[in-house]
Amino acid sequence: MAAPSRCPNRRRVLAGLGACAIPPLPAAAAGPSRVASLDYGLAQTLIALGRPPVGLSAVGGWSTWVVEPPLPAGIVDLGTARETNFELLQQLKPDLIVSTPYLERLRPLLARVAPVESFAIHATDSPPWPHLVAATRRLGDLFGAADRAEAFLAEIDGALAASAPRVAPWRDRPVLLVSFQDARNVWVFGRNSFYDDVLRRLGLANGWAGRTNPWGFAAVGMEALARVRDARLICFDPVPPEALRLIADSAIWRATGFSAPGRLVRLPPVFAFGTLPSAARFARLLAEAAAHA
Amino acid sequence: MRESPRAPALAVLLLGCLGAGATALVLSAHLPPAAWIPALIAPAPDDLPQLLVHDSVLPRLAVALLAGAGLALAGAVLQQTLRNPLASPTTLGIEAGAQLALALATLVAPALLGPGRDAVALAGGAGAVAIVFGLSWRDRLAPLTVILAGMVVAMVCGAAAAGLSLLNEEALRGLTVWGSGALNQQDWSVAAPLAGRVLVLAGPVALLARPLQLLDLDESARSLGLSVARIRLVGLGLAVALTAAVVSAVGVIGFVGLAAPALARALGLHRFGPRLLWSGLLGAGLLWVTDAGLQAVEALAGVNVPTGAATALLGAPILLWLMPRLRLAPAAEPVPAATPRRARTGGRLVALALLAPLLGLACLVVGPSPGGGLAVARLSDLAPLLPWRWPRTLAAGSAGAMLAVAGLLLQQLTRNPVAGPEVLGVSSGAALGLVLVLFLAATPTYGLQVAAAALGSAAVAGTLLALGRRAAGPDQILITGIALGALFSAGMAVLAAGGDPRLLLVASWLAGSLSDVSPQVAVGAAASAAILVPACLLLVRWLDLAVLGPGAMRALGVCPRRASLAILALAAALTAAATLAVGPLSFVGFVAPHLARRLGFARAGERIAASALIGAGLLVAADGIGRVLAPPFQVPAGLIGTVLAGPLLIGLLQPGRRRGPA
Repeated sequence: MAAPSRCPNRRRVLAGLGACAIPPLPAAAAGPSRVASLDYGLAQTLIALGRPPVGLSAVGGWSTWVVEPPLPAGIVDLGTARETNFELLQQLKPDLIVSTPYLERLRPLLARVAPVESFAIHATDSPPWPHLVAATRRLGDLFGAADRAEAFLAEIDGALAASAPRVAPWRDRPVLLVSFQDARNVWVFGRNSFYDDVLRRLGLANGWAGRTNPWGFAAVGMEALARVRDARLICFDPVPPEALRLIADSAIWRATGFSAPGRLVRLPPVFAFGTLPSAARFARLLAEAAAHA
Repeated sequence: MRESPRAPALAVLLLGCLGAGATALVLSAHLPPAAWIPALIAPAPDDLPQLLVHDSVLPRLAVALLAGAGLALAGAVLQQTLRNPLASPTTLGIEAGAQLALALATLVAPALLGPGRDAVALAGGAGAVAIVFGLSWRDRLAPLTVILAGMVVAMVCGAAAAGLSLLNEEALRGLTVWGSGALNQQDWSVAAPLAGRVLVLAGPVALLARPLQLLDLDESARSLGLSVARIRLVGLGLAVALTAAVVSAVGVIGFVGLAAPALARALGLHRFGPRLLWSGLLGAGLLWVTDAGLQAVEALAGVNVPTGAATALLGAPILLWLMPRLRLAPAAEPVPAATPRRARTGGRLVALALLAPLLGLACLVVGPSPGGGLAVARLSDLAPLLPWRWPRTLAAGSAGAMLAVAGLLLQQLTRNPVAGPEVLGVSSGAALGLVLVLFLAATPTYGLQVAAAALGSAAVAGTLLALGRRAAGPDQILITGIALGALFSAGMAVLAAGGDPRLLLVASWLAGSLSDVSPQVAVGAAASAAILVPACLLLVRWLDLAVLGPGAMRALGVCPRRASLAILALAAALTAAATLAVGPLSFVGFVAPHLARRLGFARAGERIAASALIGAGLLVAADGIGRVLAPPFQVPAGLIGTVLAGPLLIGLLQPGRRRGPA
């Protein structure tokens, strides 16, 4: 049993060495060259701009919850975001740390390691889309890569525009976007979530008009969804098996029609507090699902 | 002597009317009154409002009634079995134990959770009760000791569950919902089996009513040929099974099991048989009113509060209200000193004084490296790392010393071996302040957070002191602290169920994380320790006398009330200062004084010094272990401390065994 448990360690050592050996960016590139990110979303945009971070919180969860863009090898894991391993961060010698107001509490500590740039994107009590665009431009400016940022924004617009016609079959009814907490309770995403922004851009109607928290979702019992008539239920994985059984068997769900063919759609995870790469992923997954339905 | 059932009948009627009113309000949000009857009996399969009434509102009502009745019966049986008016599934840690068991099963053996869900919850609940008994056996199951031990077990289980969710956030997401007792239903698949279980268990409970009633007669019960021990065991078993059935079906519903039987008693039901019956009815009514009321609030105001969390919010004030009305026997006798032998302890004290700083030094030089694994920093590399390592190490040492001394003061004052700063509620006050700032302030700066935490703990300490001035005994004050703590946890559960991500930030502090201690906070903690710990030495005489009880104090010319107020004030200050640095969780305060006693430190003065050193060493070690256990992840010192201290405490309080010095 010793061998398999040591393997990842060795890999981690090599990865760490790799990270330390990453050469500084070509002289032409301005701005910081060793960025640490405490936020998945900001790391997504950094990768998209060709400046992947040297350190990131909770690297292990990326492939499960964020998925896109793929994480380059050699990024050092800084532990969980709210329990950041400052010692490791210090040893990485970053020249910039990107963070969010959510982690504002840590700013005085982070500032001892390197300058901190904070990006308010989610939980601003307003739709995140303008903040997503602004954050992308600001990161581009920081790296002297404004062109790259504009190109990336255009790329995202193109991706959404390409997805829009493919979701046309789903414009017949509103969609409900839910993420399961347990078999009977969900987060349902509404106004001020970036999912909602993407839905608008694709010409889809969000069926959830109820109130949401600043993060753009409401924690409700499943039965609250039954009041939204004739909606298409889009569930992000993972969905508890018990929830599927309930939806298939219970009289309520038969009457709402969620159990009718094509009305319940499961999507792979899309990071709920992500940035534009997540938006493109969400649009593409929706388009693929609509096309296959 | 027949008791009139009029008062309880009126109370049940009142609850019924309130519940029916709220339910009618909920129903009218779905359907006009004319359509209620068909919806209840035979809903049209394509009529959604009718179906919602039949398959969501109705099963939820059934679940509320069944869970309320089940928990109330369990509480009534526990109170009778243990002869303890404060016993309940919540206060004995049964619910928390079941919750922890379910969390563990979710992570380790999810396959168990299908058909074996009830069994897992049962095992957890029974384990918690066994530990509570182990902790309080030496005190002959004195009511307050049992309750304190129960609340300690509940806190430890809660801490462990919190730690598990900290490290396995996504896998245990459902557990947060379940832990706050959400009763919402979408079919009858929960209500029907729960009905079966509660009814099946209610049968033997009813059969046991008579023998249990005879327990009131104690000696005569034995002469009637009853095996008292066996009846108690069966009663306990039934109560735990009832609780486990409810908990595994709907989650943690705090305090109904305490409030309903207490209400029955307050309504003049002194004989156990009738009290059992009416407790069940009152419990069903209480949970019905709460749950239907919350649904009405949700329908009208759109605010979704999980029922279990709300019952705890309502239950804590009930506990506070009950407190002065209960005539509780104090802890049976002074804490027996395990090793009163006057050993030559000077050498040991010197050894402790060397050991604690050595541990701290080790923590300063060892740590994770970016390449993975651990490294002993070379002198040249150490400079940039030290600013991260010394504050947390210094804060751990200072807070450990302060908590240990606070624990010692409280144990001496209350003459209760399981008293400790964590149950004083002061740490909950600090936590509440912090949470309020995080949620209300636009930009919760660090300074603002520290100030709010200080204010919160001062408010609780002030309340306790005011209570103390009004001649409440130390035990009453402890229970008040526990109730305040429960109130706080309930508030946190409400927030957690709302899914607010800001809560995650508090979660690490609540779990006793030291990773973001700033130099200022560390120096502040050290300064507080340097002032407050020596200040305790001024109370040495009172502390030595406190163990002998108020009578002895008065005989020696010391005003017991003033002395206990002074001790309490100092304990509160120590706790508040430590909590600011390390969060509300760490069982150093329980364990260090016992360890000091085991090491032969008998007089108050040297025990203060020894406890402080042991406490400092324990928390420094806990923080160090948490840093190097699984890098890059850091396990909060509070969780490590709890995991280390829990078993240690149980070992130290074991009855009988190892009488002599080890």
